[in-house]
Amino acid sequence: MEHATSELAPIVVSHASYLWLIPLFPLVGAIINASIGWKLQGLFGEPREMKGGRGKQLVHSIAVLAMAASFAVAAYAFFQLRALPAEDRYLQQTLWNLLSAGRLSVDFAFALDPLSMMMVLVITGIGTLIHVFSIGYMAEEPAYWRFFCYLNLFVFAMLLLVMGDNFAVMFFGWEGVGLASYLLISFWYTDPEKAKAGMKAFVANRFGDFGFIVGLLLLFWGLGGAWQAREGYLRNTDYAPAAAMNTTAGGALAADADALAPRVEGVKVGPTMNFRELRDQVVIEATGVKEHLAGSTIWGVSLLTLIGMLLFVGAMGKSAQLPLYVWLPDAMAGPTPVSALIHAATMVTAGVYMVARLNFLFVLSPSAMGWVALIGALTAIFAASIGFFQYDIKKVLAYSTVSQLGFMFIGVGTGAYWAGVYHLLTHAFFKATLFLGSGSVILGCHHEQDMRKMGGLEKHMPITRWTYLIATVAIAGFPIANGFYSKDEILWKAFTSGHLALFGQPTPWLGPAIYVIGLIAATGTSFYMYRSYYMTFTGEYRGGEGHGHEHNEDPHAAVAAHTPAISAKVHASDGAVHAHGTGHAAHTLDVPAAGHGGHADHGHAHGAHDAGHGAAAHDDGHDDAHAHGHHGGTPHESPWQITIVLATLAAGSVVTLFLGIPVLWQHTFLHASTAPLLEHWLEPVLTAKVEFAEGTPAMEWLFQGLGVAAATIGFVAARAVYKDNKHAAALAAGIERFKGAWTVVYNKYYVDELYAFLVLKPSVQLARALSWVDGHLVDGLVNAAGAVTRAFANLDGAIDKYLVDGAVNAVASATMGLGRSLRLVQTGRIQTYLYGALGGALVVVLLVFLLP
Amino acid sequence: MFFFTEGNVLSWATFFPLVGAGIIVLMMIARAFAGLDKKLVDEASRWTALVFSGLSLAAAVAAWMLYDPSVPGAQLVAQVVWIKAFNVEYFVGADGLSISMVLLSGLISFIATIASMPWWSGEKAAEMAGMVDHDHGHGHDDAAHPKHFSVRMVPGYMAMLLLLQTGMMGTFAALDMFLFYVFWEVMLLPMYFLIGVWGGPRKEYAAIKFFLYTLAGSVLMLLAIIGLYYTSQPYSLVDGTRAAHTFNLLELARQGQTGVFASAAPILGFAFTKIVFVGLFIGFAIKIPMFPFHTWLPDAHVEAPTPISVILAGVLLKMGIYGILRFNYALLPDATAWAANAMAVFGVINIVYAAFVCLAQKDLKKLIAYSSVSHMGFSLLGMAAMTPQGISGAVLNLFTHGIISPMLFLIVGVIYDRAHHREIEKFGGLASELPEYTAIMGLAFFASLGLPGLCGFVSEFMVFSGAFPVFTTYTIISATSVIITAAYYLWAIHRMFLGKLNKAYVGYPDLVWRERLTLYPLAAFAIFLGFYPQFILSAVNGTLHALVQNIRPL
Repeated sequence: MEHATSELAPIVVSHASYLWLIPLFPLVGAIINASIGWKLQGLFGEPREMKGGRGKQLVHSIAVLAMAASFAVAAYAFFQLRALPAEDRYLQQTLWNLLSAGRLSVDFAFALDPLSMMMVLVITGIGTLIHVFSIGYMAEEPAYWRFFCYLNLFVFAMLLLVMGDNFAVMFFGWEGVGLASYLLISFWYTDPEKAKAGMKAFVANRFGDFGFIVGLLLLFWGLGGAWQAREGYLRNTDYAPAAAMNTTAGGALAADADALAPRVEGVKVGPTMNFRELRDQVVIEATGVKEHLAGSTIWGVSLLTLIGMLLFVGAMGKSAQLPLYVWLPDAMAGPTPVSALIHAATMVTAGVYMVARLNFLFVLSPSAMGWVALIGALTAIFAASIGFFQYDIKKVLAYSTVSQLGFMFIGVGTGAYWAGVYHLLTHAFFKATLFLGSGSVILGCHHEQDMRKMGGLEKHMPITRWTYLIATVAIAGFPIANGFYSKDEILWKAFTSGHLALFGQPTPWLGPAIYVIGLIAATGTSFYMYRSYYMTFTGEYRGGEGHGHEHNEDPHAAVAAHTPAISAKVHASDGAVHAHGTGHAAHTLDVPAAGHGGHADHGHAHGAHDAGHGAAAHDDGHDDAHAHGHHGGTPHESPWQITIVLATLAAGSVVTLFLGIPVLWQHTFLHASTAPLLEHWLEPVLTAKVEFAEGTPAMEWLFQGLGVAAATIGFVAARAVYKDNKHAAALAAGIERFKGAWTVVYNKYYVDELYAFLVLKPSVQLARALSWVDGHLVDGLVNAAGAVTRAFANLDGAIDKYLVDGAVNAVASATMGLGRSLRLVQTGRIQTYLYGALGGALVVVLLVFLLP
Repeated sequence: MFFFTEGNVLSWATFFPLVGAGIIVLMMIARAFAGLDKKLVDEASRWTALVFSGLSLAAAVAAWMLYDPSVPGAQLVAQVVWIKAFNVEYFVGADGLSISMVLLSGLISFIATIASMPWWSGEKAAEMAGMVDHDHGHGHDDAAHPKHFSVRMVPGYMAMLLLLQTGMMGTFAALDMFLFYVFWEVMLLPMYFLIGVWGGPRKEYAAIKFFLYTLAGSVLMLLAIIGLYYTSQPYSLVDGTRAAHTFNLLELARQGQTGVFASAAPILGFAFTKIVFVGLFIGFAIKIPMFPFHTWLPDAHVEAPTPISVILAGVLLKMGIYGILRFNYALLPDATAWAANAMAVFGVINIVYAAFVCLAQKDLKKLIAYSSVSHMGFSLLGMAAMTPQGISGAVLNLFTHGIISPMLFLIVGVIYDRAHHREIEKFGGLASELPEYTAIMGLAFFASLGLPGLCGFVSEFMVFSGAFPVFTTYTIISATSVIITAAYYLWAIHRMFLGKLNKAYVGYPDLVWRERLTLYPLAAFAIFLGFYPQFILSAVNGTLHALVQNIRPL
């Protein structure tokens, strides 16, 4: 199933001393805003929450400049990388030795190869755009500085993740993005639900991390085990340096570890955390590492399969796959730019990146690949089905993201690594566009997220509408935008992959089965995306009807309205006030009287909101909206910082299609047969070659046709049902008819409830039980020991008091009594004494004689 | 380095605090007889404590800098005959095992001393902000509302604190078994008084529990020490006198590693080394504290004043692991190999069991006390594996936990000074009111739950990677703690800091300068070590790897 790995050579490294600057800039930006951002925001004496205040300009300038600088360095690195011969594209920089002990030696080091280069460009490029978007979107946020600080921090961690030269640095980033995600989801932390969503994300990810860590340990162990047969794991791989160290230097060990490491054919072998060393020893067959790993089993399971599956558990957490996806929809509690950057374009693709990075490892285990691809396919269709019936526009996009990530895993799982990575790239563009578009919609509709209260926005928000439409076309899979190319390649490769296995058994049917699942999911994708488009942008605006507000999840500006009054209290924490915006009820019930006082001057907080838009319309909505929950008023197009970003990303969603023009098309239209640009670019990294079944051009055309047909079916169906929102009544009736099934899907198959029942509750109960055991049994024993000792002491004391001391006292009293009686004897007359002495002598004499 | 030399630096580090304690005692006497002003004596004793604790830290830092990791064996040695009749020497020195603990001990002692000052009192700030009912404040000193520990019987407190510091530093520096035991016991008494006099409502119970529990361990230890002494072979004292037996730990280690103790006559049918091992081990395990000997810890922590909790968690707990490495590992290699599996099992129990118990805690300080129990389990697991990564990870864990747990206890102290309770459920939304405090709390909590980039992660990861080849299943079970730990910390954050601000806490003052002085250095250290753990590892690796190589010579 694989070939062409034997002639691979060890990677040639080019040192680049500037790589550290790429993550450094965002880090510095984060540090500046964390330490003095709050002061900067109030530097000019304006209220800190003031929209467009000069202080805020300083804050976002720092953040955006940091991003732009990082992007510039990354671009420079790109050109340097491109100038190198394809096989030697590997820039590396070692900063310092992180830790070393025995054969575990880890450097804090960065590397850029074509794969991480692409990721870095996406992160810094799209990241910069989203920073710009945030200027407009978060304009009314009092904790502006905190937002940009977290955003920069996230980018820093994400860059560590993709630029790490070894597992350790990657894991620094892996967890770092988890932290940033936690902070950003819980950004409006005064709302307990949002805070809980952040917690859920972090803990769910920790389940994945558990798998990741164990997989990593297994890998490290397995690599050490490679030398067990010859030299013994502990002795020679771990202790040979230690032996040297006894006589020489303990500290010098770090420097020597490299020199002392065993080499075969000039390739360093044995346990390593370094991707390059790992890759070299695995792909170069002369080392024998591959054979050893492939032949190893643990607990009766193939070692490589277990490693692959466990590492993928890590990916399940970060990339929100079944069954660990549950945190991602909840993560929509964060501000929308966060959803776009972290929960669509970058962080959630980390799992895909990791599998692609370790392609040489995964390819060795068809079972692990089958597992990855199958989970991906199931997630794709499962999440798509939930997406059908969500009303919250961000929730639709969230489930869509989960589903699209599933597609990516189909790609990297079946061995079409470049296709999976390409889908990562295309998805980054179109999903960022969609999320930011939804953000623009939410802003335009005065913080409404329920699509049932939108509609007709095409008239009010033309730029948002067109960009959203382009991205919808892309994700649905029409060939005029990028999504088609990546998705089609993935599905085609899935169909032609006969090499997958499950649990060690070859399963040639798995590839086609995944194809069918994927095609259905793609139809669903097209349907729910067009549904969201039609519900939002067509028909009449339904926002002014004064519905209940249960879906309002993005209340930050609602809050801004209240902030002036409370501004005395708004300091670094700012978010304090956000809780008031959670819903309709909150406004009337929970806001203290002081909060309402703010209505008088919230004009300036909201005033610049719609520059270039109907000011009258705004004023119209403004009193009403702020008194009754912000869904009144006419929607309006968003400010330029938002629209320009939308336009750029939408353009990117089209332009990037040129990175993946299929060979078939090139052959047919250009009479060339070069690989798609991106495939060619990634080739030096994605060396694992998988044999796919050869398809005839006719078949390929047919499958591309099927892909377009799927998109069309979804589109037509959604158009028929949702266009102009004319059939709402019929729809409601339809839902009523299938209420049971609808409820199950609408409630996301009750997976959250299942988790609560199966994991959460038992854990807490176990914790309580153990705590009881600790307090009553373990400590009880200690206290019992104490009590027994005390009882014994009391007994002892009693004995002491009554027996021992009693005896002493008895002796004493006897003596005293005797003395007292003897005093009688002491008469002072000499005769009495003489009698006494005589008597005594007599007694003594008698005793002497009588006793033997 | 200044006037510190290789020969005297550890002695200075040890005895500076004792000198300070002596000066304070003199001041107390002077006060009693010359009728000095109480306030003056209080303030003078505070400054004395601060200066001498600072000098001790300076000496510890000097020792760290004078220490050459490339030289095997003990360094910075001072050795003179102390009690000739019993072949006891005053013998101090540092090797890779103790040098990091010397540094930690100096650092944490000094920070605890700062934390014992009443300056910029958080309590006072809270009072001035009108937050606290004045009955809870300084004015009264009745049973229900005792005065803050930092203003109660100050000279006595400071003298005890300094004496404790001498005991700790001496324990780490001692290379003579008898001297070690003396310092070990010297620690016990001041600790008893510091908890029992300056502690919380159930201070007497906690202090006595701590004292008796530790003493029970000490007795076993003493018996083992006597047994070892009388089994040891002749050796020369430093002045050249030939002695029948020796207390010299380095010599004892050499003898142990050449099989002197392994060939000793059995006791009651049990191998000598095993009996001695168990005696020593229980004595040290109580200090770690290892399940099931851990229940004194939550009580002691909950009742102890903040700086004492800091010392208890930051330094005292480390002595258990340190002692096992210094005695059991070095002197009884064969028994150590015999006990490795049991140690690993107890390590796993500590890690997972205590983590679950944390999840159920309602008192923040108790939660953190149990998290200490959980984290010390990593050291047990790592050292039981006896791989280079495992043992280095175990000792690194001592250091990282010694940085993180003092932070955590200081953080509890901050909120307790203001609110006079620690019930997690009673707080809520504090982040809005105390942003700086929240940030530093977040850093400490995330460091403790093992976030990469902060120091807790590195030691955890090294222990896992070291233990995995030897105790695969145990390691996997232990690794579940990454989930539970995250859960209990985040849940605590959620309940205390997030959500809507509890009205009772409106207007609470944020961190004051004294708190910053204690928290920021530790935070900086936590980040520094998170990115550069080799700082510690390069000093400890050599000695530790040689140590475990003796135990399992494969």
